[in-house]
Amino acid sequence: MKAVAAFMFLLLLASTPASAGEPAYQAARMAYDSWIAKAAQGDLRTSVEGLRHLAAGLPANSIWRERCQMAVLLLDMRRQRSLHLPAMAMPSMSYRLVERKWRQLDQLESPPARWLVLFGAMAVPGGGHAIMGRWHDAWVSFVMTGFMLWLTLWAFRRRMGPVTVFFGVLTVWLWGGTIFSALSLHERYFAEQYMNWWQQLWLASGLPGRPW
Amino acid sequence: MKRMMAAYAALATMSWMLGGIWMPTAFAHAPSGPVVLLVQSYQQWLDPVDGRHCPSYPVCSRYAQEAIASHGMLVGSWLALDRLIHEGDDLERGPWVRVHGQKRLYDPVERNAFWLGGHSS
Repeated sequence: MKAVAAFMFLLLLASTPASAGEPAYQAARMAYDSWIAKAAQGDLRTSVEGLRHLAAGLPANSIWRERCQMAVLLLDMRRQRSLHLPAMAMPSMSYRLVERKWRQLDQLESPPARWLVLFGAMAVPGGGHAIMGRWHDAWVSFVMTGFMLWLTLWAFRRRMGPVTVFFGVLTVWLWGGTIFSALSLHERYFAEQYMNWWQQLWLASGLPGRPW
Repeated sequence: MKRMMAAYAALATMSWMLGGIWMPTAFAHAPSGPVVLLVQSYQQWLDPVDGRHCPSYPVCSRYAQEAIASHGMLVGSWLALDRLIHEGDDLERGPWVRVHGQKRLYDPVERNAFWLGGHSS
């Protein structure tokens, strides 16, 4: 699915309304290539400015205008990403535009909502992990916390004061820890999926360098 | 039965408060010395006689040490607990790294703690 989406993205970039033999087409292509070469050398700021000016000077129906705009967005993302890692922490306008375009081509698998994971982890130890499909983790969390919870209630029923407190503290730590774990894995799932998407997008764009 | 339900509710509420609401900041600056000492004792005395090998890199005790050192006692210990919980599913997914010729699960603290917004202690 991802490969098909990448292909479609490349197809979008490669679709040519203007004839490849026209002088305007060739001039735009040469200018585009020179700015991309600049980016390959690491001069992102100049490259982005150059591409932006080039896009502004091209006719609205020119494929090179669209390519320049997409390259500006991606290079800008790359530049910002180097400042803010992960870029998701501070989504920029360019990120949103590229993301929207990419989402049209490839349905990103959405992670379960954070509130749902939190609610699941609060309701039953391991519930948050189960909602994310991490069944092994859910089982470990459930058994570990459940056993300690049972011990606490067992001690409480027998009025074993200090023992109840000891088991109680451990239960709270374990249960709180499984909630933390579910939230942490949710964050990681989201970030890694985003990173994966971003890398594929970059590869599909055919732009130089490897910004991760 | 009523008392048992009340005890259960009290434990659940405390866990929710700690894990879901106060979590990132709670006890971040609590002294972590005793826990670090516990981990070091494990590494010194128990690890050499424990036959099992941790399949992850860095190993769990090293991971716990790093997590507690950088995120304090509570969040650090939860990161260590999280490592023990998520190892099972992660071992089926990766990512992998080769350490001394052995295939290990690559799972550093930063991979799981990046969202906490830097070191809290």
